[in-house]
Amino acid sequence: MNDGGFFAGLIGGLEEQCHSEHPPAAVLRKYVWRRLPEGRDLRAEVERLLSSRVGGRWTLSQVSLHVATCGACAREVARLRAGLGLTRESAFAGDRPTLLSRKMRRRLAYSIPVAVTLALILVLFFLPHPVATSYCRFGALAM
Amino acid sequence: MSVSQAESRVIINKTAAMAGLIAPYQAEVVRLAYAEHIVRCTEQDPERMEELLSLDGDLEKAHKWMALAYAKREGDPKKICGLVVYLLSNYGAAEEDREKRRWLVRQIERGRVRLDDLTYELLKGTRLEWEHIFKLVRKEFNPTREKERVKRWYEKLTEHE
Ligand SMILES: [Zn+2]
Repeated sequence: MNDGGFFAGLIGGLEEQCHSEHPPAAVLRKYVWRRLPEGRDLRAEVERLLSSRVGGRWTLSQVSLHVATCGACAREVARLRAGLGLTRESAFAGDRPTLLSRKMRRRLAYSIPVAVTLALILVLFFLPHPVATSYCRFGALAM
Repeated sequence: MSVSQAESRVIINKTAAMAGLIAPYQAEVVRLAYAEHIVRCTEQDPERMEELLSLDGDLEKAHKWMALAYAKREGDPKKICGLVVYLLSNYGAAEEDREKRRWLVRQIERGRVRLDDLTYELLKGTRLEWEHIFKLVRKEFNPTREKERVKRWYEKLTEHE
């Protein structure tokens, strides 16, 4: 960019840092899937990030700037982007699974075994029971 | 905040930076966070950002980021978003990340990435070219003209110094 250095020196870039706190795996997953909230107040966002008192809710910029300076989290993000049974291509709009479809899948995972069990009970209840009948007959004969 | 208050704040920040209380790293984090917000159109008013953007006393960088935000308000915001994406992508890291670049370029070419998906972490080291930026913002523009607009805002901000 030929601008006499006006823009070239604008970004210093960030060196890798030794962080005492890291975003949990679930937060990194949300970051890759672009489901983290935006911070509304940059001052509060940055203060929490710089004081290592992030805790609770992580914002998109907090995770981005953490990952940009943390080798361990950067490797985890790269792994998440490539893995999770998804291609890196599907990390953005278009292929994003919605929260609803995840819930639906979780519900289905529980409800299918329950439905199968209920169906089996019903089938067994309505089927003629040959053993019990023969026992009664045998009992009647014995008497 | 009055001019004298703002000036004294900057002097305090500069002194704290020199004393090692505020590392340049921390100030850079703030400026990069603001840059990300400009790209995703979630940035706060530049009027209120001077103090926060100059935590290390570097008013020049603070005013340049503010100039980008002012220029964005004045003209077509997408063009300034594109310019900031170019800056983060090309100047955000000393080394090129070829794997990430390949992936991001593929996303852009397929129209599967939007401006509000972008972060500093995702852009750094990707060395995007202007043709990629134009696809991303879905329009072609003259980068030199946009840069000139930003420079004019910077001059306005610094003319009383
Ligand atoms: Zn980390």
